[in-house]
Amino acid sequence: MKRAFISGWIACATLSASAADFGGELRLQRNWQAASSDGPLPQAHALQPLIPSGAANSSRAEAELHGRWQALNVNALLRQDHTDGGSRQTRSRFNELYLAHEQGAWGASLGKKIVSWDVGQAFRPNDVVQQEDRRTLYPTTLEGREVVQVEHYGADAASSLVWVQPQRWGEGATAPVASNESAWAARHYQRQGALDLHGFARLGRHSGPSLGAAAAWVADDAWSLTASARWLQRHATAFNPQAGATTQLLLGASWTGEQQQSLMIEAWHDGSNPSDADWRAWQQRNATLQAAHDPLALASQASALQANRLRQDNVFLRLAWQPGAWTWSFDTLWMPADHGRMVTVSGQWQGDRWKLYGALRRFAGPDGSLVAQLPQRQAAVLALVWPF
Amino acid sequence: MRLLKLLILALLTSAAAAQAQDAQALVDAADRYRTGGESLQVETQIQVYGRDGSAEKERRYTVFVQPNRQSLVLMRSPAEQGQKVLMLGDDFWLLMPASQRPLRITPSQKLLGDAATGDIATMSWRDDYQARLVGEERCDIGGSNSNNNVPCWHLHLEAQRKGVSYQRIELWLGKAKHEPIKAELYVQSEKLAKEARFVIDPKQPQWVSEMVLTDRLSNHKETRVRYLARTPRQIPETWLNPMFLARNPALD
Repeated sequence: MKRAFISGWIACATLSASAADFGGELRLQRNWQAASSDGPLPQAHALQPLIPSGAANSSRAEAELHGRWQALNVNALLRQDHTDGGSRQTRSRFNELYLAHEQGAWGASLGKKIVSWDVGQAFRPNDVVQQEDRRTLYPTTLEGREVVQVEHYGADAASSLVWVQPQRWGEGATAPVASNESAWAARHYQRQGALDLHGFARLGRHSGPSLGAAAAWVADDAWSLTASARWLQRHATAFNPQAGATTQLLLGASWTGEQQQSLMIEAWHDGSNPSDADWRAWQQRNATLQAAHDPLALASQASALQANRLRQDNVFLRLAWQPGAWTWSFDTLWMPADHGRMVTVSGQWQGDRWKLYGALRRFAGPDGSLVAQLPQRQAAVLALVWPF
Repeated sequence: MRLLKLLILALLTSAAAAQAQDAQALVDAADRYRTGGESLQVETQIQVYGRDGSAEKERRYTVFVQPNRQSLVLMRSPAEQGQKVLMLGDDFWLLMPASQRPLRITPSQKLLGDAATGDIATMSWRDDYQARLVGEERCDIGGSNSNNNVPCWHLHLEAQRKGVSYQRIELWLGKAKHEPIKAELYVQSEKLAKEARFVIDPKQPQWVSEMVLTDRLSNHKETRVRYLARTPRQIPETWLNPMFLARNPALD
């Protein structure tokens, strides 16, 4: 793999002389995390200090290079991470490496490619190919998935059929479900004036079928509305890898003002997250393990806590203002079930070429709320970007 | 007496119609200075200057202007490379390279940034605005010389569609050649958003070579939109499909 990656970088460098859209970014990034004092991992750390607290400061340097030569498309990433007081790790990968061909109204792609679907911002139930991790503190280019893709385009319509991770079709049910399994996915898009309509279908090798629909509507000069829904025959949660049918539903609205300010609100139900009853049982188990002074079992409980997969019902609000070269934003993700919230403030300065980005996220909520039990109490990032 | 009234009414109506027709003809003439054709590839350079006149940033765009108010803007500068904006009549999409997902945007979002995408991609007023001739005025075309105060036609342009960047435009054209000289651009709330000044190419006097925009709504920066090259170009229909653009195809 490393040899293939080096070949890719050489290919990118070779393409640089001829490819019209060759380019890339150099990024320096500093991450800070403050540990929480609540939750199973901090409690396990308190009982046994050899168990990591789950919060660590780190630095990252990245070089991303992309280019195109005839049918070949490459996006390569070289990354070095250094955790304070810890080791230095150098990694490399292709975000994208695929062949693409267009012939009239048809298009085909083969290889590792980013294929993002759906209409929401903070939550996308029908992003069934890429399955992007949403609301990261510092979003960068995604890592694509291995796909065989065929598409057809009309004047106001498009259809897409994707075989995702075909190399995993023969893997048994022990393969990780949903996110990494092989699957077939299809999308039909239809434009009707100010309305974008999407229909989705997915057939997972192990997770089975799901059907979805989404719409985006520009209501007037300032307002746009989005909606997305998906039905899944089977799903997996942190507590039940073989859960039955469920639904996901998103409703959103955004408003943009003349002074370059914007407001976005999204509310969603994600039935593929653990239920309130599951979380109550989890919290009771935590209490039992803490009383039993069992740090290892307590630490393993923390694996159920994924910041993007907590409660089923969520509300997301984002305010942004873009005065000149600066963009300021404030957002909060609120979970009505236990009033947990993640509050993020970010600022970005875009110069002629350099970009500076900073963000601070605070995980807060009443005692016992899931957000308050995440390993981190707050996280911050500062990034300097030089595109070329 | 009744006949006389009818005659006067008919004369007034036909005069108003003739004036409206004249106004539209003037707008057509002004549009020709900016486009010169229905299907074009325009290479555009944007330079943004701060209040103190210092250069802040420069951007390059390729704009494909197509019939029926369709256009595609490709961002070419390193800081924005891979971004695209598609405009199909009153409908707009933004494509970001990091996600490769078409995002529906509202007309207000089209106005974001020092050089709003709408300013770059919209190169004619004819299909979007109803024109009315206000009258003849003298207008200052800049500089201290008294010869810079020239006779102009003042036109009032009112938006006929919901998706346009500006609800109202006050436009001044040269009286002799009908070239655009300056404009005031008003947003939906009737606030003056920008003032525009048009520079005629001295070597090719049939073209506007530059549009200088001064922000009057927020930061008072000056943005110079330079039209570096105009080439007749009909692009394939698939390029105007947002889902095709999400493939990140080669568009050269």
